[in-house]
Amino acid sequence: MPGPKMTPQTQAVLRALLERPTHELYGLQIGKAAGLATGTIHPILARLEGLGWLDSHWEDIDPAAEGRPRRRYYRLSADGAEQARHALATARHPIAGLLPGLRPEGGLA
Amino acid sequence: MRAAVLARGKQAFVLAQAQNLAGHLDLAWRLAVELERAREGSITFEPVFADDLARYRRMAAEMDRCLARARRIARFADADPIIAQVTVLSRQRAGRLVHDLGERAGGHARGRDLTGLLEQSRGLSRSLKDLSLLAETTVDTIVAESRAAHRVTPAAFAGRLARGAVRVLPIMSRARYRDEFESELYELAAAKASRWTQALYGLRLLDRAWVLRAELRLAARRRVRS
Repeated sequence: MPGPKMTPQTQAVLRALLERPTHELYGLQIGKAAGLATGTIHPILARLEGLGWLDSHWEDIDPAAEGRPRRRYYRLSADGAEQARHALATARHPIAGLLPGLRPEGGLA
Repeated sequence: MRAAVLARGKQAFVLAQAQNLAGHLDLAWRLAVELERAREGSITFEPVFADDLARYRRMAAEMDRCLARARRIARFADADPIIAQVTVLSRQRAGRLVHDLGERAGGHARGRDLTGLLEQSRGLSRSLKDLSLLAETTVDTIVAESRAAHRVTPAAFAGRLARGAVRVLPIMSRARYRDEFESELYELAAAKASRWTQALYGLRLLDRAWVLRAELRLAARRRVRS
């Protein structure tokens, strides 16, 4: 199965998730970690989830008891983490400074 | 301004109730101490008395559970005065009561002077029952007041935009994304994002809804093929 199109935004999301591959994050946290605007991240997450790179599940709480809605948590699957590392290593680096946190290693600050 | 005065009034009411509960716990504690003293003269084991003590433990444990629940909710709501009050109540009083009554149950099994002890135990039972009811009332009030004081209401306009974005999506995915968008909007509002920021979030959802719809359809086709 072909991998996702490695847009700068997709790369940012994968880098954010790979920083702590075992941690679960919800959409807003991923967007913040990736330096992307709120509300723009769901198509990327849906693409990665459709490819099996991401697992997601609802938070296991009682919303009435906690007084807030459940969050949808995302995490890289074991296979997804491996594929994401490989895809990022082979992807063309985005232009330095185009997006925060996306500068290639050793690039200008 | 009026709302702030009302909120302060309600908080004072909650704290007064908590202090009232503390007073009742003090009374129960004194009775427990008297019970301990009376144990010195007791001679025979009496199952009824052991049952009474077991009941106190259950009630005290239930009270402790209620107070722990209130503490969790109060902490979530960041209501420091209530947290302090509830922590004092549950840790220093209910917790101690549960522990010591448990020890006493064993002690009284070897006790003497059963008549006097049973009389005292009935008084303690009534007192514990009263304060258990009071604890429930206090906890309910604390919960209601904490929620009311910290209620998060996302901007209505942003909510409408998010619901509009959901309507673009394939039917099978709508329930999931309706809940997910609602949850994120709530998080934004809870983080004190301005109405404008929330509206921007809704606009971006709407803007990306067609892309998300395409991704979801593609994923569904992949699943069918595999």
